[in-house]
Formats: sequence, structure tokens, C-alpha cells
Amino acid sequence: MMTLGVLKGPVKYAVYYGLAIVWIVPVIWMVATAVKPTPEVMSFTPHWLPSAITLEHFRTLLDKRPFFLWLFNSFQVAFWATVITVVVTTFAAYSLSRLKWRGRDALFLLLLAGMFIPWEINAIPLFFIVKKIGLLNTFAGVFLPLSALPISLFLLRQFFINLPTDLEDAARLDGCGHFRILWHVIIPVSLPAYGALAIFIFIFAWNEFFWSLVALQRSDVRTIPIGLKTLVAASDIQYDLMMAGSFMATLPALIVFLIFRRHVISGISMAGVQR
Amino acid sequence: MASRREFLQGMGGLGLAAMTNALPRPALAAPAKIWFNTLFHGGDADAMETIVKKIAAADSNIQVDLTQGAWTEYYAQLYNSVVAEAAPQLGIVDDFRYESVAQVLYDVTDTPAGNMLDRMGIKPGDFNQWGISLVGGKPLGIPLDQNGFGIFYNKDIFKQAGLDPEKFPETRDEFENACEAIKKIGKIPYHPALSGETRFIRRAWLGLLWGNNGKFLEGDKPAFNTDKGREALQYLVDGVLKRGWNKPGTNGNNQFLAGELAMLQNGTWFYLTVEKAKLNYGCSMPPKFFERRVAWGGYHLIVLPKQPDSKETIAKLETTAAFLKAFLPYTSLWGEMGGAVPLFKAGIDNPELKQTNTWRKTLGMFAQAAASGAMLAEPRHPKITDVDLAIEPFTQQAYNGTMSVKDALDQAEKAVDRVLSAS
Amino acid sequence: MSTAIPSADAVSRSSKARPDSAPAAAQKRWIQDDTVVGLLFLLPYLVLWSLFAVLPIGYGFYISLHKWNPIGGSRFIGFENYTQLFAVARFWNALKNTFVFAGCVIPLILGLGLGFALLLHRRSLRGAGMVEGALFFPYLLNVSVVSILWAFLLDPNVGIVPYYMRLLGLASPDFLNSPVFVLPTIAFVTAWWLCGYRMVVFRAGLNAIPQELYESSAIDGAGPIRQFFSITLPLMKPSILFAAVLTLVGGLRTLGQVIIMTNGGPGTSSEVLALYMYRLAFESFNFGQAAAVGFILFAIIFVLSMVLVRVLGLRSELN
Repeated sequence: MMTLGVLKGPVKYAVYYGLAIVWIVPVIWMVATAVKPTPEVMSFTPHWLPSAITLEHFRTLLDKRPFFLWLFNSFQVAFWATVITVVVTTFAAYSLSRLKWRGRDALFLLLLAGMFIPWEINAIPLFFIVKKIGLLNTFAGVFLPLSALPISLFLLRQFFINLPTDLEDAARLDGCGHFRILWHVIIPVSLPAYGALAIFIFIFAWNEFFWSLVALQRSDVRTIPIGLKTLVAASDIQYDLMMAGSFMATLPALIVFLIFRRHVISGISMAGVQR
Repeated sequence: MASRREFLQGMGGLGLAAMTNALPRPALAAPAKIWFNTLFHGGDADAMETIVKKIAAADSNIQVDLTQGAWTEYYAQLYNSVVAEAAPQLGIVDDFRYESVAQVLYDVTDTPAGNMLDRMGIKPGDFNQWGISLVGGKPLGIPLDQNGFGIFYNKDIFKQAGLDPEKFPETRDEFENACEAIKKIGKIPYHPALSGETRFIRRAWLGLLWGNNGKFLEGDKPAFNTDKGREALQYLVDGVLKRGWNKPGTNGNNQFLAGELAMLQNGTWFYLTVEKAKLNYGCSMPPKFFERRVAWGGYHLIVLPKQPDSKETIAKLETTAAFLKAFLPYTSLWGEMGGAVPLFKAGIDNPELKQTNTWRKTLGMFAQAAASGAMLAEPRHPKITDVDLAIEPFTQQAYNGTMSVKDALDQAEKAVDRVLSAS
Repeated sequence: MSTAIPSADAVSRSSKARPDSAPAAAQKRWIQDDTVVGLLFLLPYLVLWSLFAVLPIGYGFYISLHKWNPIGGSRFIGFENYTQLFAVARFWNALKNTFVFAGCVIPLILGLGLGFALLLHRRSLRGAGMVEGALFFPYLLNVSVVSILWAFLLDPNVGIVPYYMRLLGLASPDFLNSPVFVLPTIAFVTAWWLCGYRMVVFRAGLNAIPQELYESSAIDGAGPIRQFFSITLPLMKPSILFAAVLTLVGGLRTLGQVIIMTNGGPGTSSEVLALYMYRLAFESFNFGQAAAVGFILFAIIFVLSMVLVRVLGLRSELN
């Protein structure tokens, strides 16, 4: 029916599974390296199976660097970015989809153009602005800019616009104010969109690099991506520790993904498609 | 060992801690606790941590928050923290980055808490090479140590190749013969630039340039695009491109620690790493490739970044002075654990230092090199950092073989001219 | 929940055409003016967005007109930062690298994303979910992990990629240390990392194409290749082009992978504008000139994407 009807049977499975395995080999290698003894890591010939599983790299890395602090910091940034995004965007999307006022759609288009403004490119002036407000080296300085992304607005607004208006009209006839309509009608129906939005923003904020590099320079507020970057130039960190660190940084995502794979992918799908 | 306990504590305090960390913090509870942020990692960092712990244990009035970290982010962090009016009270700088951050540092004889040297009970004469702390005639820091490159060599590989492990090559011919012998047994002879990063390549070239009696800068003009400069760079490049001593793009540290590399140019700080790797190694100044046996070197200085105007600042600076005073007796421990040559006279002259393993393996050699002027630092110039950054891409391309030595130095000279003439 | 192109318009049109429940309510609705509430609800978003996304644009331009000194005094120098930049080969080099990188990354991400989506589309395969998961997973990694991991994989001494290439008798190029290979290599790593996202989005788009179209064309004798070019591609074109513009925006502002994998090297062969800006600001502390580079990059990205959206007729994607 579709392309590539040629592939059948075992050949088909070999191709698909082979592709998947080759694609994910780097991650497997990272995990294997993280538990290999150092001489095997640094050897000029690869050792796929470690001669012995060692956890010393994790211990050494945790000794040398405040890894759990980085994890905690990343979590705070991602958590608050998600929460505030949901709140702020709900009101904004509702306003832009359910309320009627002059210039509404024009303003929406303008805000949408913001999707093409690479806000981190303005890191230099943003640095000075955030410094003036006193939010440099705080998580608020990072999660606040992340809470007003045009893509979040787009996602939610598209979803709201496509909701049927019956329940709302009925509620309005009953004299409900906007807050009650939101709380009782719109939000419960939009949970799939919120799920998608939350997943998307959480991942986005967790992996944010450029602005965090500029705004979170003090060593106690570093997030995971920045903390890992500091491993690269350090003379006391070799590949064994770097892979251990990378593995620890990846573990939360790996666990969540293994359990909730379908939800994550469908959430991203919805977020991306609503674009 | 950071552990499960710390993790659970973290998760437990999630909500509350999140709120307090999310917003700007009010002034800290303990007014005299100071923040010391260093660019050290590895053995140096361990050394500093040990010393700070000992000082804090001996005097409960001195509380220090010590953070240490990666070198590449350090200077941006230092500068920006002063801009953000949230700078540490103490920092560390390399001499070749010193002047680029000069405007965010206090004159140590003229801080809001007075003259630090007086508070510490010392005078300039108590240091070797006090002059390196002067920028525009003012001491913006206190000399800590002199450090620099040397060649670490694997004695086992030497033995295997039929070379005397106790006698490191002293002339160019001896060195080249040694490389041939090492190639014959299938090992990698030499890596001149540590991990292969671009600044190390430039520094390796500088060592050869100075060994060839060439000059780097002459006042406000580049002086390296000469026959001597080209000869030096050509020799460096030939090592990896013609003579097969190594290949461009490789990480010498990795090769050495894997036991595949016979000779590695690395710094005084490499001592602890190579000790931990339990290699049978020796350490020596580079051979006389050209006219003299010299290597690239630098200095570390303790600096006081500028603080906001407040009463708290004075209290913190007083604690800082007390800390620095308590630090002085530990300068030999600094040398022993960090591998660099202490500049505080009482530190380097300490007879106990000469009994340590560090002195035997590396530090004694480096101290002698420092005293005899074989460790050469980059010229002092307000724009030396930009000069270095301008040259590096070209020396790297020559090293990689993607640019001829002549082109590389021509372009480097042009770039440096532009840097030095910009306002 | 609407999906991709064909139905989105249809659904929104239908919701607008939906009759109101009662004539009286219709009257009320028509004269409903929620301006105050509307703006009030929009306010938090507007404040955040203006403060963090819009204000810096103007402020950045302002800074770029000065020799900006946050400690001492800043000096107004007009367009000198810009003229200095335009006279420096390194700036043009960064500009070139930025476009070369984007030029490599767009076809890779779109090609791989679309290719994988097509491979998985309506395929009866046990474990298809696991395959999709494996192809998607790298997207969840952060840029530091991806960069560190691939720098390790490509290391000339201990990396497995050069090792196996040598084993297969291929000359292993200096991936991250060759001026020719460095940008395509970083582009490939970026594609490995991000194509999973595009794959998922394209899959949803493919799923929205009605089966009947394929069935009827199959009856007319069209094979899979014909079907791809006459049905799939035309219907997917808007979303592919839209993805291309978004990928272009992302590619032009890349910093993370470059700064970690090569820091602009070898030499300045992989120094892109975002990295050049970062180094001007935080290595040379020349904030005015860095702001100038930032403003130029912002202008390029914004204007280019606006023009492309207009020219490629992608306004409908935004609605």
C-alpha cells in the first residue's frame, strides 16, 4: 500500500531492528563505558563487554562534582517553567480564542511571529536586563523567559479554538464568569493538550543550554547541561567520568521514557502538530 | 561521597527549597563567611580544599565557602559576578588573563578594609617575583605560584625501547633518536600539547620560539613573524606531520594515561594525575631543541574581586585578610599537593618541602627551572589575552597541516596587529 | 484534537459555522466585547514575552552602539562596532560557517525525519513502537550529553567510529579536527539528536492523509514510488516547508554542540555566529561588539524566516 512494499518477512525485521539498534548504539556505548574499568575505557581497541562492572566512576564523579545539586537545579527550572507556562498560557490562550475583542487575531499573529525570534540570541542585552531586575544567578531568571514561549501559546490556542462551544454557552447562560468557565469547562476537556504541553516544556526547559550558560554562572546554581559542560575542559576528568556523568544525566529521561514511551511520543506528536 | 541521603534530602525539601531558590536571596545569616572561588581542578583543587579545611578547623572565626571549577568558564564568571555585584571575596587568576579582568579587582593595598598586606603582616619583599602582581604599577593580586610545562615520560616505554630511563634526552639529536627508537617498538613517541586543545598548541610553539631566542611581542607590535618564529613552528608541525611522532587532533593526556605515549609535554599540575595513574614516570625540562632548554610558564595570583559598597563588605574583607594571613604557612603544602612552585619565600625555602615525594618526582626540577629562568611567561600587556586568542586558530591550523607555517604566522601577525591597534 | 493540514482548516471553519444554541444568546454573543477581560488575561503572557523576548532586541541594539563597560562608563560610538566587525575576516567566516552548518543540518534532519516517518508509516511490524522509541530517544538527551558522547565516539585514539572505519579499510577522516569535515560532522550529530522530533511530527502528518487516496490510486495502477511523488509529497509539502523554516531558525542560532565539541575549532572552522558572539562577550569582554553580532544574527534569522513564510505561502500553517 505504501512505499517499500518490497521488504518482507525476516529481511524486514532485520532492517528495522538493525536500524533501531545502530541508531541507539551511541547510548549503549555510553552506558557500557560508564561501568567499564578505566584502562578499558582509554584503550585504543574497544571493549564492548566490560571485564568487570565497576561503579567507581560514579562515586568519583559525585565526589568531585555536585552532581545531585545540578539535577536538583535542573528540576527546579523545568518544574517552574512548566507550571508557570501552564498558568500564563491558559489565560492567554483563552483570551485569544474564546474571548472576543478587537485586534485579537492580529495580535495573535504578532505573538506568533515571535516563534521566529531566537530569544537566546539576545542573551547579551537579556543578561543586563535580568541583572537589573536582580534575577541573575536565580532560577527565576531562567524559567521566566521559558514560561512565555510562542509555541506554548500556539499549542493551547489551537486546541481551545477547536473545542465545541456548547458547554461554554450553557455555562455562560447560567451566569458563570470567565474563571469558572475556565476551571469547570475548558480545562477539564483540555487535559490531553496540557499533558502534551507539560511534556514538551519540561523537556525543553530541562535541556536548555544557551541562556542557562549565561545566566547561571555561579557554581551552585548550575543546571545539568552546564554542569556537564564544565566536565569537558577539566584536566582531572577523562572520558570514563564524562560517560558516567552523561549516563547519570540521562537516567531520569531513560526511566521515564521506558515506562511512558507511548505517552511521551503522543504528547510530542500533539505538541508538534499543533505547532 | 554525595549519595542517596543527599538526594533524598534534596527531594524532601523540594517545594520549600524551590521557592526560596527561585527568587533572589536576602543577605546571608553569617556576616563574616567569605566566598573563595578558584579555577583549579585536579590536584590543585584537592590541595586548596585541604588547606582551606585546615585553616577553618584551626580558627572558627574564619568560615570559607570554597568553590572550584572549570577553567574555561572561570573568567567570564569572575567578571560577570562583579558586574552582578555578587562576586566572591577571593579568586585566582593566571598571569596571562590577569590584565583582561584588571578592572574588576581591588588594589590589595587599597581595599575598603585597608591594606591587605599590612593586615597579613607581610611586605612585597617576602615574595619572589613580586613584580608580576603589578598592573599599571598597582598590586591587583598576591603572587601564589609559578607553574609551567615540562616533559613527563614513561620510563617503562623508555626501557622497552632500549633507552636509559634515568637519562632524559638533553639535545635535539638525542631526542629525535629516542623518538625513532620508540616508534620502532610501536609506541607513540611525543605529544607536545597536553590534551591537544588549541591554546596548548600555541604555548608549545611559544616554548620553541623562546628556545630559539625569538620574541613574541615587542612593545605594542607582534615580533614573532620572523625566521626564528617560523623555524620554531615548523619544528612543532613537522613532529606531527612529517616525523610521525604523533598525529594532529589527538589527546596527549589520554594517550599517556593509557600507557601508549612515551613523552608528553604537560604542566606542573599534572603531578597528581600521573601519580594516581600509577605510571612509572619521570619529569624533565625539554631538551635543547634550538638555543636553550626552556618551556612555557605562567603564574597564579590570589585576587580580590570588587565588592558592592556596604558594611557587610568590610566585615567580609576583614575575614578575608585573616584567611590570607592563615594561608601563608601553607604555601609549601600548596607546592607539595599542587605541584607548582610557591612564590612566597618562606614557602619555597621550607626544608620540609624538599623531603616530599612531589619534590623528588617533579617539583624539585621545576623549582630549579623557575629559579634559573627556564620557565618563561608570556609578556605582560593589557591585551595579551586577546592576542593569544587571535593567534590560536592559526597555530592550530598549521599544526593540523591545513595551513602552511608561513601563512599561519602571516595571518596571525595581521590578526594581532588588528587587536593591538583597536581602541 | 485536530491533526495535520487537511483537517485543521476544515475543523476551524466548522466551529465558526456552528449555529448558536438560542436566538437570544446569538444576539448577546454578537455584541459581546471582552476587551477588558481579554487584555487582562493576556497580560501576564504579554509582560513576560515583552520583557524577555522583545525588550532585549531594542536594548541589544542600544548596547551595540556603545563601547559597553558595565563596570566603568560606557561610551557612545555609533556604528563603530559594526564597521569594525565588517572589516574583520573572522566575522565573515562566522557568518559563512553559520549558513554552511544550517545548510547541512536542514536536509539531514528533514530527510531523516521524513525517511523514518515513511518507514514506520502504517507498517505492520511487531515491536514497531520499540523501533520508533529507539529512533526518537536521542531527542530527550540534552545537548551536553550528545556533544560529549559524540566527541568520545569520534576521538581519533579511543573512539569506536574511527576504529571501525579503519577496520573496514576506510580512511577515517579527522571528524572534528578537519576544516572540511567539522561542520558536516556536527550537523550529523545534531540530526541524530533532533530528527526524532521531526519524525514524530511527520508521522502524524502522514497519518492524516486519507487512505482512500492511496487506495484509489493503487486501483489506477500507481506503484509506491508514484504514490509518494503524486500524493504524499504534495500533501506533505506545506508541513515539510514549515519544518524547514523552523529547522533553519534553530540551525542558525546553534551554540551548544559547537561550543562543547570543538569550541569553534579547528582554528575557526566551526565558529558560528552564536559562538563568536559568546566569545566576544565572555572571553574578550567586548559587550558592545557582541551585542552587535547578536543583533545582526537576530535580524538575519527573523527577516529570513518572515520572508520565507511569505514566499513559500506558509501563512496557512500558522492558522
